Amino acid sequence: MAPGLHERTNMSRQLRNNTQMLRRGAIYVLPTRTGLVFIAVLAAMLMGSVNHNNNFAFLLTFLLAGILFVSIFDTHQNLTKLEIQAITASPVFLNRTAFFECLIRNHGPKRCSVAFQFPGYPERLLADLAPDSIDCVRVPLKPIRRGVVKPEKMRISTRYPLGLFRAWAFIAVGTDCIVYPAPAPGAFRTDPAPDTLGSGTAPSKARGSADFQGLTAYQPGDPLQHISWKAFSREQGLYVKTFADPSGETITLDWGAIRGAAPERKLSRLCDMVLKADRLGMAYGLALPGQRIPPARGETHKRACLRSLALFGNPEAMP
Amino acid sequence: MREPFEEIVSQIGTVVLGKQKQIQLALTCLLARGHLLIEDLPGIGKTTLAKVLSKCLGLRFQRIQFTSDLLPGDILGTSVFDRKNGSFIFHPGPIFTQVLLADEINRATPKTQSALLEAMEERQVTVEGKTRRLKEPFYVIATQNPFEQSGTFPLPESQLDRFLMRIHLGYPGREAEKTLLQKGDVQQALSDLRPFLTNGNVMRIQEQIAQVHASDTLLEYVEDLLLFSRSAPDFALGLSPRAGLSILRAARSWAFLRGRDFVLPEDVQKVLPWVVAHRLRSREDYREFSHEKLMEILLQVPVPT
Amino acid sequence: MSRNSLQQLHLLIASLAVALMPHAFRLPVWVTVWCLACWGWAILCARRQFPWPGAVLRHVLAIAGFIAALATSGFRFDREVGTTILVIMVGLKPLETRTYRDRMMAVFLTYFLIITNLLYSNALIMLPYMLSAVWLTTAVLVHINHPVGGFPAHTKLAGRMLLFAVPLAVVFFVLFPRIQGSLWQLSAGTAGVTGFSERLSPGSVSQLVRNDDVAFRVQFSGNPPPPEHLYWRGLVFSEFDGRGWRSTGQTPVLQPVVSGKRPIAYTITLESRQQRWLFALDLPATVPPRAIAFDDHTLQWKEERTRPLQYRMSSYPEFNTGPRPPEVKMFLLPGELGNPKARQLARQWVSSATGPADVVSAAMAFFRGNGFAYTLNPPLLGEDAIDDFLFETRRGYCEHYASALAFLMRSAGIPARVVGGYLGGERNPFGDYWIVRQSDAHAWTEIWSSNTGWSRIDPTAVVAPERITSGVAAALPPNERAEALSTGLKGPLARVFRNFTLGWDAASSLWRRQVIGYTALRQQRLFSRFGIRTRSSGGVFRLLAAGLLLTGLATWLYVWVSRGRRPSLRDPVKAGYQRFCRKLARCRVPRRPDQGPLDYLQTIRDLKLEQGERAESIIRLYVRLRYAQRGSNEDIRSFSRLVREFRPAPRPS
Repeated sequence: MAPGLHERTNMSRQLRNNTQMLRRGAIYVLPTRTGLVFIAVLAAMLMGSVNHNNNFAFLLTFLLAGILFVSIFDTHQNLTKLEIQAITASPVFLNRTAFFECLIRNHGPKRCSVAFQFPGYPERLLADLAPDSIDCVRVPLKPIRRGVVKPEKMRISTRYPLGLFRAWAFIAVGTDCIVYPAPAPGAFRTDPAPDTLGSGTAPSKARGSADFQGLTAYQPGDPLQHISWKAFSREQGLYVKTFADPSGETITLDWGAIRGAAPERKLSRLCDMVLKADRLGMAYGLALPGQRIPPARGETHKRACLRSLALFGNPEAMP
Repeated sequence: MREPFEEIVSQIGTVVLGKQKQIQLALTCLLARGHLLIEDLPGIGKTTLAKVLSKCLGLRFQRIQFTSDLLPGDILGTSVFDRKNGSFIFHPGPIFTQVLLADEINRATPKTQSALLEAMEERQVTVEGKTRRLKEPFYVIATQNPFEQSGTFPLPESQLDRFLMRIHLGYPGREAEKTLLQKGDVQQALSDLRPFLTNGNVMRIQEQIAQVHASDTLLEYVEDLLLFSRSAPDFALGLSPRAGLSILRAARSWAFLRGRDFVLPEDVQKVLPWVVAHRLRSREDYREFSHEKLMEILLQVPVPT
Repeated sequence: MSRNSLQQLHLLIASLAVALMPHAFRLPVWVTVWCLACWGWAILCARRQFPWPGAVLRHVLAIAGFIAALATSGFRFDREVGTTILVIMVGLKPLETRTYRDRMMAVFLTYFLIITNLLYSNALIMLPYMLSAVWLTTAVLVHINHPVGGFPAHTKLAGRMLLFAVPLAVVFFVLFPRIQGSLWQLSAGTAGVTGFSERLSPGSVSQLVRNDDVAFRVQFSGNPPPPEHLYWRGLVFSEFDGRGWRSTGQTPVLQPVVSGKRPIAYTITLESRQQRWLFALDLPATVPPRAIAFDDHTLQWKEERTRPLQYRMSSYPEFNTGPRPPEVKMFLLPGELGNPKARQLARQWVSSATGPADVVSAAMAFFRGNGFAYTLNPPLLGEDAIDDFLFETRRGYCEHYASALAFLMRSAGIPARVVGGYLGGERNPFGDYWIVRQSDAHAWTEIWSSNTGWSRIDPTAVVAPERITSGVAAALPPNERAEALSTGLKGPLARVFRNFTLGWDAASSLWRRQVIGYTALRQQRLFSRFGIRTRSSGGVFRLLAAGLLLTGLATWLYVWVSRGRRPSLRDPVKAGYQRFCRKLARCRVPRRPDQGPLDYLQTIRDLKLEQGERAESIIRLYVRLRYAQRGSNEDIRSFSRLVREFRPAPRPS
């Protein structure tokens, strides 16, 4: 097999699933609103030329019409042979903007001002794309609910070069984005009330029998016996020693322990707690109705917890 | 290999046995003005490697053992009230050196870690509102235990990005182990070493490395790698632009050490796993890849002709 | 304001300024000042963060501007006022260009402003102006739609679009149906107002010699007549008032009586304005439509004429106006007026002659033999001007001779009159047509005889025969020639300049005839040449088909030209290396896609290929060209050659 061909098949092996080439037939072109105004201006010019029987004015009018006509093809050509190689999306919290990252490969001449957008959301402009090159566009979408967001199609459009015509094409997205619940801030560390922490165990942070974990800056209310006087004597300011006991008590964030709140609100609170527990380096578990994640630590664990919060009660195939 | 690096590598090799590849990579990293992260179990020779490197390059060396009660001021320095003058006097911390060995960096609290990492990035130190520049050359060689042991704070991904390379030492080979046992005293071998370069030399070499030519085709290859990492389904997050620059810097240095003044795709491939392994995570379980798996994925990107 | 939008504002103002430029010369000065002030204001707002004027202020300004425009014209609404109001809007427009939409509207306004210029002038010079203004404006339009790109690139793109729009425009232009007009109406161009007046007195023709304006252009359908026949008849002066001649009392006729042989067909494009007289080669055989013919074989345009005019004519260079005797006034001389010596001379000729022909030849002999001189600067004449000229000064220009001869003839009882017009002209080699200038103005005499009717007698031909064959300058004494030459330049540059003006005049006249003068009539004629009759439905269909075909052709060409080429085809190093790899792959030594050149070289070495050294030198050269980016074009050529000559032997499988 010729290396060139071999290269391409190999390269696209991973990418093939998502690859979509914009082909001539799938691209639509219509005048923009300003394009219609321009056509009206041209019509006025034509009327004037007929009225004055002025051949020079005819010539200019037809020249502008010619430019308008030529621009249709330029606009159309600005999209053809663009390949959308892959679309990926990182998980996002509700009320934040999710970005679907598209890898664009240009198989044709230089492209200018190509806009990517989900219908109804702001567009993202790819200002320039050199011939035979790759670029990345992050297309925003604001999810309206947690769970799996699976936009059907993305619009790729351009008004280049004259802004008088718009060419557009829709591509199937096929990528889903996991939307975590929006974290709802609330008492956690300073107020370890039983209704926020399941299993009735307070965070193991403050009680001193465990391993020394490190120093954190002093906040009013911290117990005085934990102040690091050694650091203070070195004139480094007030620090509080914190302790952790990984082998001993761990916390479980329990759905049932949050009372008197709507389910979505409970998920938001749990989400917030997961984030806080992770930030404090605690070992934490998650207990949801019909689902239990044993206590652990680390990025992988955090993501697993957030994911189960996101998908709680929702089938995967949510629109 | 280019003179005198051949000799440097072999000299270090007499102390750090059987680790030719790692020594070359460490040298590449430092000459590319990059900070180095060595990840391995204690007692493998991380500290020795750092010491030997700085000695051979003729650089000043400082070591900080990171612990959980280490404070930012312990690294950066503090201002102490001087009763005689009635004013504060700044006592520079150990960071004001040329090679800083940050031993077991993941034992310190995130606050202390970030103080060091910010100093690494900016190459300057801000204490009590006053900014002090660190003199070039300045390198940090940090070591870290690979496992999430109790009482450790693993470096977050965003901080890991600041190390140009991460290398593993691993146990010495059978041959090397035998020699090591025969030789016995490492300290003696260390003191026998002589510096090959001076401060000025190192700076000049760094400049030369920055001049190493990377052609359009090569840049295209690096770009393809970046974009591929962002689009391939294997990775949770793609490589950042900073990672792209790091690849290029390391490849330049590698090419320079091989006596070339231009970069080849092979140079990129040689340094690639060491530069990107700590920056990429699996999409499935958010774990790091082994170098072999990583290269299997990344070598799908064809070399542009 | 960001750098981008500042640049857009600058470019918008630049294109508006270019579109406004020709108007600045004809509109009141305050309008230009208004525009410059508004633009300056906009730039200040953008650069120095001055507050932008609000909508209310802008509307107030606009209304104030409209009122001022109407006031300038005395509250009469005409084309001038329309243009002024448009320009006032043009001035205000940059003050509201902060949104994309506003900027687009500003560009459309610029296009509109360009077209209004064309209503005022159809001169050829406006064509390059119009093209460059459209080019600039289109580039600005591209820039507004892609502000991050560089303007030079946008200029290039706009130029390319324009280039392809031109053939489309021509197709539309030719095919677009025109409304029937009776004559080819040409709108105002650069034209002299000067010309013949209704009275011919000494000095009135020689004055025109210093005027280099074009009177009219002539294109002959066949061979042009010889120079001695290039008499362009304009006015006939038949009434002598003692000093000069007046053109009065013609009788309109349907078709003047004339017979002749070998008519010459030609087209005249008359430039000079405000005169109703039409010029034609002596003697016109036909009457153009919408013209009046008179019994003295002169022609007049029926209505007031303000624009240049084009008409087809044919004339008989040798003619006979028939035996019908002329009116009595052709014999008349105002008896009470002077010039006794001349009358005496005429009577003397009559007494010794056997017929009118003898009198004429006597008169010509008189002019030939008595030291008459041809000059632009004749001395002043006294009370009896004819006597003074004939017997004292004997120096004069054509009108002196023509006038004196006609006077002598009438005194001898022969019907005579003076004809004003032009003689000769300059052939333009670039367009194969003739330019007749005001400086070619001439006057001659006609006498009547019973068997030939009126015939031309030109006394100048006797005094200065060079005038007829070689033009004015040749006939004049050397010290006066400079006055008659059209340019003051001398030397080799003069010729270049002359050629340039002639070339420009040719292009200009082509422009007027072919483009500006493209009318319904012409359109029909053109279509019928291709067998398309616009009246029939089949013809319309064919017309549409032709339009679509031509448009499609142009489109295809455009798409073909602007489609992207793969750079690999253009890059010989890339192509060469790919070819090299293909050759090796055929010999079962394929390059893995992730293999860099040195790795591949190692593979080749390991396999111990026969052609290993050659492959190595190719790869080394490739590395140098591709990655070290060193190496001359020579190296690239030798690389291509090496690859071409590389013939690896297949590896046994």
